[in-house]
Amino acid sequence: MKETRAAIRLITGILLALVLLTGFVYVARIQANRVRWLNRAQNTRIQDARKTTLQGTIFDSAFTVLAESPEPGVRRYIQDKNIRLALSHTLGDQKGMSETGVENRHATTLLGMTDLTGTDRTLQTLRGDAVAGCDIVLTLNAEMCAYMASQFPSGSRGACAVINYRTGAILGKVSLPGYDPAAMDQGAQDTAYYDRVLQYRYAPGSTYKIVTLTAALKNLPGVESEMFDCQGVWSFADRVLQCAGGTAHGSLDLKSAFSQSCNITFASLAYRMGAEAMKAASEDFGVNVQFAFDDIVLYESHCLNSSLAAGEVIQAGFGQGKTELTPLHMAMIAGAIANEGVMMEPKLIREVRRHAGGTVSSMQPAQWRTVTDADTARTVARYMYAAVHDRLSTGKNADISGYTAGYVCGKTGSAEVSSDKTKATNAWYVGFLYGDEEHPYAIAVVVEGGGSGGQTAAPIASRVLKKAIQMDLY
Amino acid sequence: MDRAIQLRRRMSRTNEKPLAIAVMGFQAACMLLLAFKDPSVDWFSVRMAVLLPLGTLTGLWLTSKCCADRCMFLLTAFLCSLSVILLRAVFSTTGKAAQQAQYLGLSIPVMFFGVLLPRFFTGREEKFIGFAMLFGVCFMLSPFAFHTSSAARSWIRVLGHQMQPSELMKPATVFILASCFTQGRRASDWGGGVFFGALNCLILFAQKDLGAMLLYFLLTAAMFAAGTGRWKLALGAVGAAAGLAVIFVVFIAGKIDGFGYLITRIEIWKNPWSGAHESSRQIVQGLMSIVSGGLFGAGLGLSSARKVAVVASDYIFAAVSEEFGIVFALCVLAVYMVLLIRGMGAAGSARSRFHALVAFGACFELTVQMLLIVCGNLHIVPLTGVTLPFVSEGGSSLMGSMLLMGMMMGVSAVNARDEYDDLMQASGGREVDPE
Ligand SMILES: [Zn+2]
Repeated sequence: MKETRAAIRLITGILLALVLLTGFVYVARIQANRVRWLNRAQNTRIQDARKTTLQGTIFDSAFTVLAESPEPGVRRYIQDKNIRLALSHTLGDQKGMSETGVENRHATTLLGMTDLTGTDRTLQTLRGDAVAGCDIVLTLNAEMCAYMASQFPSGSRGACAVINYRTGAILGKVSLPGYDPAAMDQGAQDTAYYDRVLQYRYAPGSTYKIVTLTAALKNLPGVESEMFDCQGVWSFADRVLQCAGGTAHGSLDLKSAFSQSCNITFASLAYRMGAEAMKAASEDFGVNVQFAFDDIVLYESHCLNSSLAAGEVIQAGFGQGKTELTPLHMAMIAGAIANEGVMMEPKLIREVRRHAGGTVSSMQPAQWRTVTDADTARTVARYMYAAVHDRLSTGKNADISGYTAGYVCGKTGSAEVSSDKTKATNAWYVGFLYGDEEHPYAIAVVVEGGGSGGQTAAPIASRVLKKAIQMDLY
Repeated sequence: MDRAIQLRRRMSRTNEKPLAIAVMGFQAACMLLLAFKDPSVDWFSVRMAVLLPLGTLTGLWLTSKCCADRCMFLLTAFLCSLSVILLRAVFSTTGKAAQQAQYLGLSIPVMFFGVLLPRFFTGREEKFIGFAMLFGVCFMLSPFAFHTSSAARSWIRVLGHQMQPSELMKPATVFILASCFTQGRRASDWGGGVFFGALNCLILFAQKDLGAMLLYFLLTAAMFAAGTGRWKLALGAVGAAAGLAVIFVVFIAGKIDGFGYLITRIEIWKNPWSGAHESSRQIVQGLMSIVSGGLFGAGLGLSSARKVAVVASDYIFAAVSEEFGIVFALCVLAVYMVLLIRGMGAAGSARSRFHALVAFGACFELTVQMLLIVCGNLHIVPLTGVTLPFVSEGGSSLMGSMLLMGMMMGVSAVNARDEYDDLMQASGGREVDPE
C-alpha cells in the first residue's frame, strides 16, 4: 500500500507538471504567433471583418496616401498607376493574392484586430464611430519605388531593394512584373503575384564572393598577400570551370581577383576552406536560417544545405550550384558589411497609428545578427570599393557621377540560370554607400536574363542610389 | 443515523456553496445570453438556462446523499454544461447542443451508477474478473462484426446511435486492471492484467484507432507501476513501445496497406502552413481559431470557430479559446487540474489498494486524454482523435468519462465512510464532531 501511495504521488506530480506546462505553452504560443497566424490568406475572419470595419490607411514615408477606405468594404488605392504597379507586392491586395503584402501580412493591424486594446475599442463605440482599424506608415517612399521600376529595361523581370543599413528600414523595393491591386479582376502575368524581393531565391552568382571573401579572410590567415594564378579554365573531377567566358586573368592577388571577379580563384578558396567552413560562414550571414521578422515575410536562403560534395563547395564559392538567395537578403548582406559587420532586422513599418490619432507603436531598429567582426567588414568594404573603382574592375558602371560625400562600394554578378551557356545570365549588383552617414544605403538589383551584371544591373543601381541621395531618404 | 450521515458528509471536506452558486450562475448566464443574442428568442437556450442549474442542483443533492466529493461533481457539471453552451454558441442551429443535452441527461444516472460501484465491488472484484475480461474483449472486438463503415472501424451502431466501444470500455478497463494489479508482485499475479491491456492495444491497433491505443497503453503501464510497484518494468515497457512506434512509423507504416496515411499525417503535421494537403486546413484553421480569441474571447456566439473542421469534438478546445479567450481557457485547464488533485487525493487516501487503483486509473485516464487533445489543438503533438473529457461532443465519450468520474467520486465516498468508522472507533462509539 505504501509503494502504491508513493507511485500515485509521483505520477500525480508528473501530470500536474504537464498540465502546468501545457498552460504555459498555450499562452507562450499565442503570444509568439498570434499576428503571424492570423494574417494569412486562409483566415476568412479577415474577409468577414473587412465588410464591417473601416480599414486603416496606408501611408508611405512622405505621408502620401497609398490605400484608404472611405467606408467599410471599400478600398481605394493611389491614383498614379505607375506607383500602384511598383508597389503592388509591397501593398498587397484585398484578395490576398500576394501573401507578403502589407494589406495581407498586416491585415489584423489595419482592421484593429491585434493592435487595439479593449479600451480603444470601447472608446470607439462610446464615440459612436464606425469600428476602425489602425493606420500604417511605411518606411519606404512611393515615388522612389516608381522611379526604381522605371529604371529597369522595359518589360524586364527582376527586383530591386534599397535599405538603410544603419536602421534596417526598407527605403524602396520593387518587383517586376507588378500587378494592379485596384484592378484585380484583370488578372496578371503568371508569376506577377510573387514578390521577387522577398519570395524569389536567385543564384547570387559572383555577388556571393562577398561571403566567400569574408570566410577566406577569417579562415585562411595570410590570404591577402597570396598570389593566385588563373588560366581561364580549371578542370575539376568531371567538370570544367571557366572564368568569365574563358579569358585567363593570369597572376593576380586577392583584391584584383575580387574586383575582376575571378571565379577560379574563389572556387579554389572555397575548396581550400572546405564545406563546413563555407557553410558556417554562409550561416553567419543568415543563409539557411529561417527568418522570423515582425514586419515582412522573407523566404529562407540556401547554401550547401543539402549536399557538402566538393563540386557543390566549389560552386558555392562563386554563388552557383544550389546556392540561392533572395534579393533583400543580398541587400542585407551588403548592408551588414557597411554596418561594421552587424546585420539589422529589416523594417517596413515606420509607425502604427490609431485612426483617431495617436501612435500605437513605432519602428525600433534592432540588430539581427553579427555576421563578422568590424575589421574584416572594413577589409571587405575596401575590396568592394576596388570592385567599383579599380582599372579592370567589373563594377565601374555603378559609380555615381558627382557624388563625393561617400564611397560607392559594390560587387557585380552574372549568375547562370542553367547549364545551357546560350541562356542569358541574371544580372546582379549589390553594394552600398560607405562613409556617408546622411545616406547609409545598401542596394541589391537583379535583372532576370539581363546578361552581364556590370553592364545591366550596375547602371540601374547607380541611378537608383543617385535618386535616393537627391530625395534625401533616411 | 441522520447524525452519522451528516458527519460522513463533512468528511468530504468541501464548502460547496460558493462553487455551486458560481457554476449554476455561469450556466444560467451563458444560456440566457445565447437565448437573447438574436432578435428572435431561442427557446432551447431558455429551457437550458433553467435545466442546467436544476440538473446541477439535483446532482449535488445526490452526491451529498452518497457522501461523495461535491467539489468533483460541481466541476464536472461545469465542464459538461460548457459543452452544451459551446455547441449552442458555435453553431447557428440548436441540433448539436440539443443532442448533447440529451446525452448529458442520460449520463447523470450513469455517473451515479459509477459512484456505487467501488463500494459494491469491495472484496468481491475477483469473482467478476474472468467474465469481465471476456466480455470486455468481445465488446472491443464488436466493431469488426458490426462496423458502420470501412473508414471508421472503431464504431458500432446500436439502436440507431453510433457508438465507440473503446470509449465505453475505459471504466471497465480501469476496474479490471485495478483488480488484477492488486494481487501482488509476482508475474502470476499481474500477468492477466498485462495480457488484457496488451490485447486491448492490439485490437485498437487493428482498428487503426491509434489515439485510443496510446491511452490504453499508458493507462495499463501506469496502473501496473502503481499497483505492483515494479517501476523499472513499466518504464522499460514504455520505452520499448516508444522505440517500436518510431520503427513502425519510419520503416514499416509506409509499406503496410492502410497505414500510409500515418506518414502523410506526420508530414502535414510537420508543415501545415504550406497548405499542400487538404487536411492541413484543419490544423491551420484550428491554430487561427485559438489565437483569434485574444485575452477575453470574441464573445459568446460571436466567434468563427465553426470554420474549423470537426470543431465540436476534435477542436473543442480551440472553440473555448476563441469564444471565451485565453483567461477562461486557462481556467478550464485549472479545473482539470483541481479534478486531478481531488481525484488523486481520493486515490491516495483510499484504504485498500483496489480502491486506490480505481480512483488513480480513472483520474489518470481523464487527465492524459485532456493533455493529448489540448496539446493536439496547440499543434504540439499530432492530433490523435481522442476527445476532451466532458466537453467534446459525443455520447460514448461523455458516458465513459462520466462513469470514470463517478468511480472517482465513489472512492471518495468509500474514504469518507472509512474515516467516519475510524473516528467512531477512536471515540469509543460516542458521536463526535470532527470540527
Ligand atoms: Zn579568372
